[in-house]
Amino acid sequence: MAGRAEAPFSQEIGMDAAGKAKDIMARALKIDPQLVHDKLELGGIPQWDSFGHIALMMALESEYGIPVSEENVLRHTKFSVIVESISEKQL
Amino acid sequence: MNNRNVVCQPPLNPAVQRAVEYRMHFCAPQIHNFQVHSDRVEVSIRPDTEEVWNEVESKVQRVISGIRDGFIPPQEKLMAERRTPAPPWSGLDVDLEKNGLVRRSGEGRAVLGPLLAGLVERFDRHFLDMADFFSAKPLGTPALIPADLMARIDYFKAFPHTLTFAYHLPADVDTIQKFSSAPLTTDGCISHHPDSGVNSLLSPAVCFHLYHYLENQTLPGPLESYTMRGRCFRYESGALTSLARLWDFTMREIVFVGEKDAVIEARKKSIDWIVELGKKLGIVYQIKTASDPFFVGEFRQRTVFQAAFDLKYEWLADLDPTSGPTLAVGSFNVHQTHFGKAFSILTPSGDVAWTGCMAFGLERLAYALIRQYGAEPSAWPDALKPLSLRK
Repeated sequence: MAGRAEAPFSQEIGMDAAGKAKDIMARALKIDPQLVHDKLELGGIPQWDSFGHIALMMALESEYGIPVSEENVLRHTKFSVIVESISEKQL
Repeated sequence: MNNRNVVCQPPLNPAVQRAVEYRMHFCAPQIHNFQVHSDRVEVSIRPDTEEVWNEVESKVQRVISGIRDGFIPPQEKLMAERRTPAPPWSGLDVDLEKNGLVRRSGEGRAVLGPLLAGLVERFDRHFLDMADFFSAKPLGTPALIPADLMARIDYFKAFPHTLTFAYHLPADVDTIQKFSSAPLTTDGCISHHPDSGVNSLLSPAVCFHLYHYLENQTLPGPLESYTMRGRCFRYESGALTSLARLWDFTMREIVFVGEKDAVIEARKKSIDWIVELGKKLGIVYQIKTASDPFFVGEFRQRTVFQAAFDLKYEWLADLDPTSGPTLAVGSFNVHQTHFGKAFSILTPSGDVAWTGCMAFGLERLAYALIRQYGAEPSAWPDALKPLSLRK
């Protein structure tokens, strides 16, 4: 039985946070925003490697006040989590 | 000379204090002496003038804030420990130089006498056994390394303070003859200064040459192991002390290149191997998480990153019975795809290769052994004794 197509994560959480996440990831990883998709994870594209991740964490800290802690470095390894954190910061 | 203070508000936690202490050695040439406390950094300067102090104080503030601000120290994780049976600690008062065991030949440089040189070789035999265990292929590496290669691996950003440059006189008869007639300045320094064209350094690690050697290659199997030994050069300013921290030292490395899981598993096996070796060698130590001595601008994020992804463990030998001071005699590192990507090294499945290296500082091991067992080889553990003294 064909199920209802899942809504993309970015629609569920709201385009605002997802758009901001795409924007910050594109700038930090120096990539085209179109390369950022709902399922993207650390290591999913060559630019999101260790150095890319450091750059991304620094950007999240300076723009959204998410501290570069061990916990946050480990947690923010998925696009979806970055969207969640940005969304929380906007509340 | 007065001691002046730079107040630390808020106070420094122990991790930050240690990090500031190391980097203070690279802070300002006018600093004659310093001591880092939790609430202040005490500094004496030369010349002791207000103008110099203003400059030094601002640099000290920059070092402190570059380390402390926003830094959330990662938790240390203990992987292994050996504290019993305790060694005799008969080398605590041995002065290596006075006893003729080493001859210092300048800042961070030492000539090892036969006793220590022999000890270095016997330690290395154990690491060669380890290399055999992993079927590691040997590689011969030069001491010089090209500057562009160092730039590709981002070394200049992470460790600029430790670099040692290598240069030669230009191919110009006038310059060569001028230098030859007055090679040294009155303070014993080389009289020639290169204007440009310096494109080589003395290598700070031996494994970098391997990644270059493997450039643009697809590995034949999921895991390839290599071993190499060479002189390494890390200038660590005032932190250069005795054999514990040399500018010019010998490193044995065993390097793994391959699939992610295979590299991680190989590192785990290496740690297990060292735990077994530790029993044979009789030394007391800990193996725990660590971070590299990144310079101020890169310190915070890279330190946290290394810890978060479990990228570095250090083998820390005890230097006295209180288990207080320790010395990193080896490290177990995973670099993820950092080198694989820089040199386009691929696994058989087409992924960018992961790398990991186990590095051992041979002079440091010899120094730790002397601290724990003294300078009389008959008292050393059998695995390190000269053959003639073994039971």
